[in-house]
Amino acid sequence: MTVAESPAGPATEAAFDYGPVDELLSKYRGIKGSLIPLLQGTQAAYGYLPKEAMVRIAQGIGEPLSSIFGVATFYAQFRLIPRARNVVRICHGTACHVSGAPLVSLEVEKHLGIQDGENTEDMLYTLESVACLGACGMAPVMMINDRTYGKLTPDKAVGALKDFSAAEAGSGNGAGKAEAQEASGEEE
Amino acid sequence: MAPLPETEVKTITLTIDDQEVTVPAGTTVLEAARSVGIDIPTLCHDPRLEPFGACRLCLVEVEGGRAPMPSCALKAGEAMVVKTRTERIMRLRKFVIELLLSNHPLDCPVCEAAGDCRLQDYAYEYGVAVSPWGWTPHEYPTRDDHPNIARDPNRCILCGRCVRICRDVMGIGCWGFRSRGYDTIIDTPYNMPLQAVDCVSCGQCVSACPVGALNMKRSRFAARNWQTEKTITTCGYCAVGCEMEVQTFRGKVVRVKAPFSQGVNEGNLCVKGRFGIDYVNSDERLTAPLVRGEDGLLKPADWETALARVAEGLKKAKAGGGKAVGVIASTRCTNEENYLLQKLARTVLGTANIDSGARLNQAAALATLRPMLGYPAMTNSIADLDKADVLLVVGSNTTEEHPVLALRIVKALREGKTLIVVDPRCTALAKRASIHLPVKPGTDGALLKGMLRHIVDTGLADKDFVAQSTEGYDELVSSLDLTPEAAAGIAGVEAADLKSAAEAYAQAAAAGIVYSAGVTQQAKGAAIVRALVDLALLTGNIGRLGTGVNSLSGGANAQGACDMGCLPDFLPGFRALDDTDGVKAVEAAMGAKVADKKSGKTVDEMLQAVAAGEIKGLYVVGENLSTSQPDRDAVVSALQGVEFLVVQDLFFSETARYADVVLPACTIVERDGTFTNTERRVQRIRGALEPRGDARPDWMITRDVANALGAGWSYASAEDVFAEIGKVIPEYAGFSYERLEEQGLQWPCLSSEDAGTPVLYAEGFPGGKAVLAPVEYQEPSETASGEFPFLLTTGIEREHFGTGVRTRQATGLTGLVGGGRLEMSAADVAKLGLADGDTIKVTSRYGSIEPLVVVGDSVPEGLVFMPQHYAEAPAAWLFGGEADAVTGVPAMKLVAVRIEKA
Repeated sequence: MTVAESPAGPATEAAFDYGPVDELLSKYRGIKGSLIPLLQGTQAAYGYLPKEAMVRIAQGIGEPLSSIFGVATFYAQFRLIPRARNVVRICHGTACHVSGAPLVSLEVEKHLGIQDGENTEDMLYTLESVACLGACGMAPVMMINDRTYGKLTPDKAVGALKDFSAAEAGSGNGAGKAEAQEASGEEE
Repeated sequence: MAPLPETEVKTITLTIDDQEVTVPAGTTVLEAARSVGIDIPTLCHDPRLEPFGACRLCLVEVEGGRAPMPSCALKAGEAMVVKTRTERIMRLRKFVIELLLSNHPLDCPVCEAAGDCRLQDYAYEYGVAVSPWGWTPHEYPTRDDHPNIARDPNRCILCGRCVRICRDVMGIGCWGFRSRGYDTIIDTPYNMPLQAVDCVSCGQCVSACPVGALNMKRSRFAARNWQTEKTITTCGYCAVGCEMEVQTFRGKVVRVKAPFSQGVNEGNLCVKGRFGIDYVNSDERLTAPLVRGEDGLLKPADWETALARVAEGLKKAKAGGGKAVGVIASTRCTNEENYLLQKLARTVLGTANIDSGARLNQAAALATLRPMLGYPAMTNSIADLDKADVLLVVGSNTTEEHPVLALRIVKALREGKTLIVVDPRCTALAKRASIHLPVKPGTDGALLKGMLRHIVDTGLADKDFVAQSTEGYDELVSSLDLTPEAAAGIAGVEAADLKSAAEAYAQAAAAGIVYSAGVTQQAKGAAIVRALVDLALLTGNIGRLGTGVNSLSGGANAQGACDMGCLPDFLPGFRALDDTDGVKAVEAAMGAKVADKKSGKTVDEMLQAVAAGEIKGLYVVGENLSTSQPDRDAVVSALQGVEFLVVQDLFFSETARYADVVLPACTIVERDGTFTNTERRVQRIRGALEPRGDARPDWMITRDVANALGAGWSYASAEDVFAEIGKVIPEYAGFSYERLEEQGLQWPCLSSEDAGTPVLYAEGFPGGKAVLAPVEYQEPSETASGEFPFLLTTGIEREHFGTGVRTRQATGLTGLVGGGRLEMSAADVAKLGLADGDTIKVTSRYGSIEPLVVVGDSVPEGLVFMPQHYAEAPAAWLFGGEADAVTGVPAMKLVAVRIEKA
């Protein structure tokens, strides 16, 4: 007698909204090779891939959860945890790497108190390493949401983050105004 | 009997390292090379798995090919010229090993795998320079949360064998690759504990790991591979009969592995086989005979005293005639031991009261398969099951009861074959079945009637086969008084499902039936088996690969115990007592007279006869009656009341408590003999250790008991007994220990040239024609009512066996599941105001037990389930001793109960 305990647990099952993932599952039912679109759709609906939805997908398409989890962790596009309000992306492309991106990352991690791929406890910042942001001329480069900061040093990166959070705190909710301003790194 | 006509196999001839090799078409270059002793290194290859081609160690050069190719995935081609050890190949392999080693901790002195590690072997063979690349290996935490399996991801080389064996062979998928590139790691999803991801603790992943990343935790630091003595033997738990390699060191069993090249299991084992043997090392083992003194206490004694006491007690008991004694044999005893027990009963004690626990599964085969087909045994072979296009599994929770046999069904599923499961519970197989018919308990007979009727009505019967090979068609048809709709109504299934199941089964090119205790332990079990045989005969699904009526027997030697004549109504080789010529032949070969030629008593009847004062002496070998039998009070008072009781066992079982003399027996790794598995395959068991203390092999004890009674038996070894069996039973005539040395053989095996019989009835039926029997269906006598609102059904769980005499002494198993528990649907648990883990009181009209309750998803509302193994809450005690009128099997599948918080 295996009493398969649902990894999601019965308590969260009641609270979790299975609507979107169930809709996707019925949309793709019986279609081979539909795991990637299923995961993409799920991420679009929930903002990330919640564990409950992953378990549901595994059951729905009759594949082990380990296989689904393997695919979701293989592709950089999938997130297993929700994103915080602001996403800090540090470029680790070749140009950024040789001009000091590892040191920038280290200092930013220290400042935010989180590792690559994690969220701050207050859910204000998500930190992500990315392969290339397409601004190699400004290496090393960091983006906060849609705003780009270039020619960084570890100190400058932390400074930019401090400025950003001050501006966000000042504007109350959201960093809309701050985002509108142009990146200034190029001038130096 | 001749084997099946072999189909023409196309062969291919190629040249490997200047050597000409001929192999069947489809063979890979790797397999072809290994078949002639050319060793090609591999890490990701496992004979149990599909080729993966990931490790790049098995690269070979093929003449005319552009680049080296992985030999594990390369099919041998006609006239192919292969070189396995060119300079280029050797350089490439060395490079691959260097890359692996640069990222692998060199903690070999304390690594479990040292001495049994492919990476270590190849690094040495290829003279690899250690870590020329200067990378920093990952530092992953080790995991230790499973009772039997330890994991060190730092040693993992990402060959994926654990991932694939769990997903593909087991059909589960605990392990997966996580992340990509340099960060790739093999892990459970979300790094959950193994037991939270449906792990069945089989340890197949450990057996697949070529390095020390997955270890058997219980044998850590016990002995190096090269220090252990290795003995190939047969597992002593279920009737699949897996071959295993028992490794022993300093008088103890250290670990169990499975050879790839030998046995029906092909290198696979289940949790009991791999982790369930340490009962052998238990301190609770009986090491000296115990004799009850005048003060009423059992005290250790020497064998002389104990045997004299046994002889005296049995003589006194049979003073009024042989009928006053009974012998109960066991499915855990070898053929040799069971043979001697029945010989003791029939020719020395002079009684036909000989029976065994095999009755639970085998009696239905005797009462139905034998008269309808010819032999009371599984018609086909385990290896056949994945050859069926449609498999109908009835009353068999195969993945738990016969876990390694179930792998064949998992393979069939993987290959897209159709699986139909008839079971009140939603078992693991039912969850994956094409059609699950969740039949109401006890109504299988009605369901099968409906299926048979639908096949007849739609013209799907195989009329030619029925006309040429069977009789009784008209009687069968006139008994089919239920329309598919009416049958579905009674059975509580959808009529459409019933019909499509019948159609799928009848229309398949080859359709097989599998059934087990879920059928045979029902009150009307024999009637259900008859209907199953009718299904096979009506559609011509018999005598060919992938077809048949595959009755799965219970214990390791359940089939053998019956073959040997541990039955009150049949002599060895299923000779009926009223078959005068047969009896004479048996007597001549045994060299002794069968004293009582009237049918004797079954286990239950013997216990009843004790109460009636008819039986005064009982000799019980390896059966734990006080836990296994229904109507507990009657059993206990019989055991207490019988004048003289001898119990022979490994442990001081619950039954041994009532004995006058307790005789200490040996485990399967301390004695020689043979077991006959469910597919009629006779296989060797071999002693690997000296007997513990004063314990002795069962065959020797029974010989000495017989001699103490004046029999004058001179068997010096188990092999001596086996030679006599070959003379007594024609179907065993072709066997000898020498022939069974490498591989077991399947009876009938009539001569030393006979290769055995994988498929019965390929050349017709022994009686000329098979018999179609009318199908009877009666409503189950147990129904839910106001006072007893729940239906309780019982079964087997994979971690335990029988009444747990052995498995509950095996720490590798007791760590996995707790004691007696009752499984109930979440809705019912809520309705009764219970919580998961509460102790409850379960009461039937016959008895009451107090197990824990667990919430489970296999049972619908109104139905509860209990495993049969637990002495502290024996499910058998809830049953009233109603027995199948035909087979005498006590009904232990269905009883109405009341459940309340204890």
